[in-house]
Amino acid sequence: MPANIYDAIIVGGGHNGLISGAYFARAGAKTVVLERRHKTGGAADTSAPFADHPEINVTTYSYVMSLMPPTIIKELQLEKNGYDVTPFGPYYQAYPDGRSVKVYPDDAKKSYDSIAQFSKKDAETMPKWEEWLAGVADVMGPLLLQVPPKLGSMKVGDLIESAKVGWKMRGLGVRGVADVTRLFTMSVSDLLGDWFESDQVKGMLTVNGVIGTWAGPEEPGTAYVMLHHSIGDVGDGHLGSWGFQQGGMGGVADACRKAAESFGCEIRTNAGVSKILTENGRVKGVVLENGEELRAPTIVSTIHPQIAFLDLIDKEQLPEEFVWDIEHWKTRSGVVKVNVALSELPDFIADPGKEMQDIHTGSVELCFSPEYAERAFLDAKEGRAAERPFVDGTIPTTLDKKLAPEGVHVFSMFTQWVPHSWVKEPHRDELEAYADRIIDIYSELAPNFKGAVIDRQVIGPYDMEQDLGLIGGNIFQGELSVDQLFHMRPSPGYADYRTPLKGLYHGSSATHAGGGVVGIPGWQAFRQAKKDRKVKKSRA
Amino acid sequence: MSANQYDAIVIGGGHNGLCAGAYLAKNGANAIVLEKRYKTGGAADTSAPWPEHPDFKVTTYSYVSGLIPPRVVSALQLEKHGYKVYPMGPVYQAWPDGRSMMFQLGNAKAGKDEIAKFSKKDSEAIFEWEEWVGRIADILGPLLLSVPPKVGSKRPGDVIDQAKLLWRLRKEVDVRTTAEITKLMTMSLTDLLDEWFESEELKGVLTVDGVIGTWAGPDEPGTAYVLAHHGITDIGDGLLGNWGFPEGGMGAVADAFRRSAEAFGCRIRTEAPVEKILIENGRVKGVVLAGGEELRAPVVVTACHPQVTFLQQIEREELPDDFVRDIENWKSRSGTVKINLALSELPNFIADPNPRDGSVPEHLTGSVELSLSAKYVEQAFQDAKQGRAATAPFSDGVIPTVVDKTLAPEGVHIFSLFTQWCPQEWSSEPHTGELEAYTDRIIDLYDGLAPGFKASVIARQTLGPHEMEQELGMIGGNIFHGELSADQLFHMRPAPGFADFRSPIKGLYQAHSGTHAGGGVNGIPAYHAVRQITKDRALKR
Repeated sequence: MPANIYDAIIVGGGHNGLISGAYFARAGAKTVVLERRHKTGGAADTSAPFADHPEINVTTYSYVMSLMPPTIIKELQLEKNGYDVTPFGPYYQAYPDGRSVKVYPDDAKKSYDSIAQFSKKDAETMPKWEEWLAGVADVMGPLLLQVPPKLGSMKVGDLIESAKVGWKMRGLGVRGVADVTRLFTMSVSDLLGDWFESDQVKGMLTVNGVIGTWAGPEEPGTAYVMLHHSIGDVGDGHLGSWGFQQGGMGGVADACRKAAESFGCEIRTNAGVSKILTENGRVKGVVLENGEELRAPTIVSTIHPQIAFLDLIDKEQLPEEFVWDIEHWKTRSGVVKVNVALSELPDFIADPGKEMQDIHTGSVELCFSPEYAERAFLDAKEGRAAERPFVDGTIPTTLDKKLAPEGVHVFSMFTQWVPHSWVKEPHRDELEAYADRIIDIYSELAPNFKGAVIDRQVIGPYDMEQDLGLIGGNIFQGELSVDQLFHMRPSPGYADYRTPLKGLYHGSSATHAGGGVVGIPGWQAFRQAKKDRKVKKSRA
Repeated sequence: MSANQYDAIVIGGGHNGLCAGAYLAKNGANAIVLEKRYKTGGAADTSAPWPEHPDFKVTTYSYVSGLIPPRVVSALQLEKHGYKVYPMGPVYQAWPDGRSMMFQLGNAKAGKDEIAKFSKKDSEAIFEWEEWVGRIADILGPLLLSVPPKVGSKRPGDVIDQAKLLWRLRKEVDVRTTAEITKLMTMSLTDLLDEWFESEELKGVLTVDGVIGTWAGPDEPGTAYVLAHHGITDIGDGLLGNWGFPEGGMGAVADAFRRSAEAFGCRIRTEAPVEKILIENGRVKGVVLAGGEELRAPVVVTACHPQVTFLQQIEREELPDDFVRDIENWKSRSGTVKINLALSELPNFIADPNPRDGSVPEHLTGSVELSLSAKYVEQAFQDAKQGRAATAPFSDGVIPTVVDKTLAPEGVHIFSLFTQWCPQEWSSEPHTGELEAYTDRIIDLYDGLAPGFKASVIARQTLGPHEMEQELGMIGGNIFHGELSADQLFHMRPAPGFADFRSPIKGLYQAHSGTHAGGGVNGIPAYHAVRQITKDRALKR
């Protein structure tokens, strides 16, 4: 077989691309993963951004692990290749008045005591809420491993697929269907208002409903985003709890890469694709930015759908409706990642001490109430960065000793919002001022915070689009709004990881189950190719 | 049969209560409708609010008629009883720069040139848009006449109902349409309109139908559906009449229902507020009025707000916990304000001066909007959300007197303005001073487009959420008895498992607007409630 001819080409070397490549190679296909950047991993990345402190590493973009199915971890032997996730601690929110809320995933008594300071009623409600949410999540979880059926299609095969999904959902009952309807259509604010009375508890629970989305907690649809983050089992065994990868998220990507290489997959960096070649509605190969041509009958795209389908493929090769859908794909965000190196742990007024406590080991939030988060969103909607942003913060160095020298901590802050339109320009100064404000607010809660900052890195929507091809700065390669889920993701009729072109599969986060470092899209793209007998095994 | 014994009691004498009473009496039942106020009609009302001008009548709350199914109009002989509707003219919006746009919703093609003044591209896109909305409305329309199945239930009867519904949809639906319906149910109007159009002006005009009566700005997901709801023109039994002005105001619609009910032998009592619904062993027995009087019947139909019936008129222990929780959490916010103005002359817009001969120009015969852009509307909502009345409210205005000569003396016009938003929590207090200032601002805004408008105002009436809740029992001031948000539609309206116009109490049926198809003066909830009663053979003859 000539050197430039493959069985399968994977476009994009993020975690999904690497996982897809690993599966193809494992099945015996001669496979290459093509990555535009100088390194693989995409948004699952560890880097040393501080020139003065080359010894301090941060988990650059994405920051926690959860939904990767046990099947993928096992089949690709990721643990052997360095996948190592430590479960993280409680949800923690401190208040300037010296109080704090802590919710422990595994200690109901401690959670009760903490919440009861604010509302006894809410403390009693919390276990019922968790049970309710877990109940719905258990039904919805397995759907993540489901290839979305072509809802509405009257072809016999499609009808059978739709009916099968219906059958899987039969456990829901009338109340269950109502719960699911609510979760898909309500705002997280209204939903929490139905259950809880204290702003503190609602504030903390709000975070999971708006993370990564261009929508404040009062927008319908945000309840679903919260559910998505509550799924604990996608149908092939219980997932690990949320946790930190040792060595940062780059460690996850490295494990995927090593696994792929161990199966014989070739991986090329600095290999941006400029065109996907097609002939009579069938893919033939790709052209690289340097003009080099690679050929393969099967291609998996794991990059943003607007790049793959609007930039790399000629419009005429695709159905008009599909092009229209992709052109109108919503991919706004307005999120900002702030990585802060600290000389000591934050010493919270509410829970004093610079020594490590359990409160430092989980989510160290900045979200005082649903209104607080909504205000941040409205600021951004009105065209300015949030005056008081909300933050989902973690300090991985409390549980991960590989990132930084002893004593130094890295505070990884996922923050929202700046205007989504900032994706067009860097807005450096405004972003720095925005980071200043966040540091000031944390300092109100932990006065030593500001003084402990050694250095910091601020990454806005512009950087995410330029560096990672995350169009619009959206970390999910497309908003997780209800009109962009399941049979709609990324386009109706093509939510089954196939595309309008024969031989071209879709394994990006903009497919069903995508959003987060999950790997299901990359795996499903491979499975569909296999079903279509498009996995050649030249090496077998 | 003793005097206080009936076959069926209807609580609430609004249009749905009267419609239910009429159908029950038509079916031979000894039925009575009980109304708390001194008159029937509820929000379908005509009144003379100004003591110094007793000859000026306004259509007090609701203001246009649409969606009453032809089968209801004919079965209840509403036309014989005075139901007469004048079709409405086009939608019209003027801008301060002297430009304006006018076209007939649903037939915007005719207004192509009007739209082209703002964007050539949009004037082409509107063709496809209307076809698209029309196609979806044609599928959703017949659903309004379906009883929502108990989605998720595995009892054989319920499974069959669900299958039947799918079977009926089979011809209409394919992958694209399913996707389009998904989008409509879940997208924001802003995102949807941005996909189609570029002109802020056109988007502003189209926005109105997506936010009317709702506690949600156009940027909120779910508002696209409200637009489709208003685009429905055929619910499966023939083309509906256009939206229009009933002669004599909306009170005349209620009067037609009332006369029809009385003609079939239904009794109607006003000033008869129900304090309690009597229940024995999970079965309804009758009602107790505020004075202590007891009326008995094996069938009771409630046509009032679900939170009034299920949380105030029934003991909590009689109802399942889940159901009570659902009703407690029922969202019924709104923040709408109705303004009725009497004018000494028609507004004369800079953009389109009125003809000298005194004839009525076409642009004043339909909706005379104040909705300058989608952003304008969203800002009005944001103001209200932050706890203050909108600085620049949007308004859906109509001048029924251009066709209906019964409302006011020759030369005087009534301008009926449905406006949004003030804070939804204003339902708990009158906020009269702030509402008057709000009305001043609206008058000023129209005056900016049509100088002389302000001077032409002879009298005015402002009705906020507090009045609507106090006067009409519309909790939270919501004109639909509950928000039309996606989580409160179809199988969820007003509670899962009880969207079939029945209730957890045997013999108690629901016919209020907080049920499926409710929202607007259409009578469908009452029609369904009586059909379920018949199906259950609940009526003794």
